[in-house]
Amino acid sequence: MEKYSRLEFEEFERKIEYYKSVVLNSNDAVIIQDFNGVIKSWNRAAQSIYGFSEKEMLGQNISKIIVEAHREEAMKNIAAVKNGHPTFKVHQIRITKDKKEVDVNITYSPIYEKDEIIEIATTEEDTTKLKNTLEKLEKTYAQLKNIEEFKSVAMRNVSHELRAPISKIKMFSMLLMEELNKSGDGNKKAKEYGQYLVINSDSILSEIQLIIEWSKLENTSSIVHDKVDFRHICEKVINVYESQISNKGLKLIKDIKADFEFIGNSRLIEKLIRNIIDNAIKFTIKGKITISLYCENGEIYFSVEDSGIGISSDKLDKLFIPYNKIEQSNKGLGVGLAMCKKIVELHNGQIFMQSKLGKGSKFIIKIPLNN
Amino acid sequence: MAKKSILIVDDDKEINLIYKAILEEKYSLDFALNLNDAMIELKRHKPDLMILDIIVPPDGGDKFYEKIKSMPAFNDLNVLIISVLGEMEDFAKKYAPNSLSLGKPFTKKDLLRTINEIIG
Repeated sequence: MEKYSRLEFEEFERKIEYYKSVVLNSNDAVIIQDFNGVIKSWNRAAQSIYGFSEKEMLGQNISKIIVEAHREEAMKNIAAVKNGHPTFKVHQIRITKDKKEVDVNITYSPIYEKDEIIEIATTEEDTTKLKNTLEKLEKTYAQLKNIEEFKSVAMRNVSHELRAPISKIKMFSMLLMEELNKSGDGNKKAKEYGQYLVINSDSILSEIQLIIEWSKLENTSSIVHDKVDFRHICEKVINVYESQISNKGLKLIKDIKADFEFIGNSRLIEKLIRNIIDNAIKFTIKGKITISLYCENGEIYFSVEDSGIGISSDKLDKLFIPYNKIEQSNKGLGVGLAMCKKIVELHNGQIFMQSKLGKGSKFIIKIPLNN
Repeated sequence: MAKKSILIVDDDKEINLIYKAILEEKYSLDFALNLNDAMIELKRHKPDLMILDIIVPPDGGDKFYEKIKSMPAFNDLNVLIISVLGEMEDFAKKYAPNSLSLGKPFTKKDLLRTINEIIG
């Protein structure tokens, strides 16, 4: 027998105590069993998970706490460790002293004596609470989703109800203006007021239109495809806005190089281009708007740059969140850009914005040609 | 020359007032506030054009459109489909080329131009 000094012996004892306390006080159950599943060691956490005391379990078979359906698998796991399988983790349903089922994650590891595997250690973590929390979380998530859908439906219904009467207000105010104009130079004030009726009903209508379009698009995950003539749509939209741009005294620079077709959704692409250009006009008082379109390495690049008010970099990430207005003073509800992002994503593309406060902004849209 | 005739099928009396204001001068107008009346009116006098709102009681303008188009007497009838802008676009597109459908709210100019394209 090897001889140890008293000091060395004390050191061994100290180490044993140390490891013992780690095992004893572990939050996870630590169980040692032989190759037949006979329990050799059982710590406090094992007692608190399974209800059996150390005294009750030492010498008992592990199958006592395993549901029948998992017993065979447990024996296979033991055999695997015995045959040298490295440490592995499994999930089992176990049974407690008072016959309750618990979900546990079990890590199997071998215990060596010299170079030989002699026993098996398992650390076992009770995941029942985790599972319950997860279930609660899932339920909450489902409720949230319901609220989200309800909000979306409510917004759409409200908008639908508002749209019909406002449409009529708009049409009647246009007719009213016409009647007033028949009266020649008179009724100047009435004409001015009438003009405000037309302008304002127009702006409510376009907001309502946006909400309805957004609520339709918001929960869409796939689109109807057709051939998209990007250049043609781009030019068509620019035509619509050209007079508005020049009326505002802005310079329009067009740099449209690409001529290609791709498979996407024309209606949505038109909406995207319209929203981006509309946005640029809205926030630009003087200077220019540059619209460019080109195709490179299988990707479509569409960008609109303005010399408008720009936004500070800390607000950039809020830009595409629906109903999130960057400045309270901005007109509109803040769905336009959220819609743009959604449309780009439905085409597997990306949208970015570069901006300098007071200098202007640039929106860049990148869409793969074969999306 | 006699004015060309238009049958307007819409249950909204205020909208009908708008049609009247815009079209009365140039066209001879008849109105039907529901689809049963529309059918009676069609059989009494086949108009040069029917303006059909897509939402009309009891079945909706879309069903009515399909029904009359399957009737030999009316399959050549000019129909201008009116939908709310951005709604029922698919139906309007399915059955009507651009000139045969119009979204609400429309302007006087749009309505007159569209009808002029169809019946002159």
